[in-house]
Amino acid sequence: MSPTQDQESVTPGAGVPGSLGFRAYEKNLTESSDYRDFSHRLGDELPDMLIDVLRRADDVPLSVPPKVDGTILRDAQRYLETIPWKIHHHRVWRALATFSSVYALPLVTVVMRTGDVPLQEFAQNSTVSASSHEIIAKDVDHNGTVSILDAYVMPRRLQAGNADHNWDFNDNGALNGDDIRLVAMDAVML
Amino acid sequence: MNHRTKYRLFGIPLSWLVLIVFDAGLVLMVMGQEKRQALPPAVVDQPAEVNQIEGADNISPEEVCFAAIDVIVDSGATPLAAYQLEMRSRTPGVEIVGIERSEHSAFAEPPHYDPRAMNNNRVILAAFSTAEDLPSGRSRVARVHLQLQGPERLVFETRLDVSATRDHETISASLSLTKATL
Repeated sequence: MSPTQDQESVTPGAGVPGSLGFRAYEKNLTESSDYRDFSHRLGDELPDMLIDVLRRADDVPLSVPPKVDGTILRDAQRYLETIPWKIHHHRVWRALATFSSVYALPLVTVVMRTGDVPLQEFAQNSTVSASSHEIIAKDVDHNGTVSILDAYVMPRRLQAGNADHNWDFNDNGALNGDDIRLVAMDAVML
Repeated sequence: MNHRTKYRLFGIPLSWLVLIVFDAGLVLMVMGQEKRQALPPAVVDQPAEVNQIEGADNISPEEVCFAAIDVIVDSGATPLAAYQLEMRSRTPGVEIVGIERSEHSAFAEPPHYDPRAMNNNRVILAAFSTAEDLPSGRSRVARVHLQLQGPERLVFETRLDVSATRDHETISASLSLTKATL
């Protein structure tokens, strides 16, 4: 049987269901006994000299003259300049990455700084477990520092009936001397 | 001209410079906002004063003894309703071992202090009174008991952080320490 006949005998339409894709066809082709026979005989039939020359060609280092290299490069550049998006798309991504990283710093700064304000407001209006928030909450006269004056304000406001229910610092459901003492103690903490 | 060398200043691409300046502006703006939001200080930072008191008599440098000092606040003619002060010993070997109340009935309870001040050289004392009868002039607001080592002079840094009237107004008062006579 000739090689041409072998090739014709494994055409996609012959014995390969149409529902199979190219991979299945390729697999069937290379695994067929006809194909193996053809490859084997083809190797045997090549002249020894040609096989020897091809083998030696692999060992010779490939050298491209600089002039040819430059010409290819110029041609490539000319071609790529005709499609600006493709040539510049990596720069676009790089610019986006730069913008993102540069904007990240002020963005984080702004978020962190502005995040303090609601935290302070929250602490002033409620008793929370963290000590720094408690100290802010105990700034009864809202002047930025907890001092004995904060404690001094409380009994007067309690007597006047306009105490803030958030002053229940010990969470016992009542505003009394214990809450005032807690504020005073905060003022004298070392 | 190669596009890579266009619009550069000091070797930095102009677009980068614009971004850096923009960022710096944003950061400065945020910091400026923060400063504007800062609350005014409640307690005016008074400079610390130095008070010197005679040490113990007739003891050797290794010997330990006890002494008491009176903390005096002079509010002049204005009745003193609240005070907060800080004192710290500069003398080595001095430890606070007790705090006693004021001589005035308006401050019948010992002042508030952090228990960690005991066996320490520093304490913050604070008290207020809602009584009608408040002390004025020179008034002993507290007596501090000390453990001393040796006859060295006692040097204290003191600062009166708060002194207020019944109406919550600040008084221009003074603070001094004297050796107590037990």
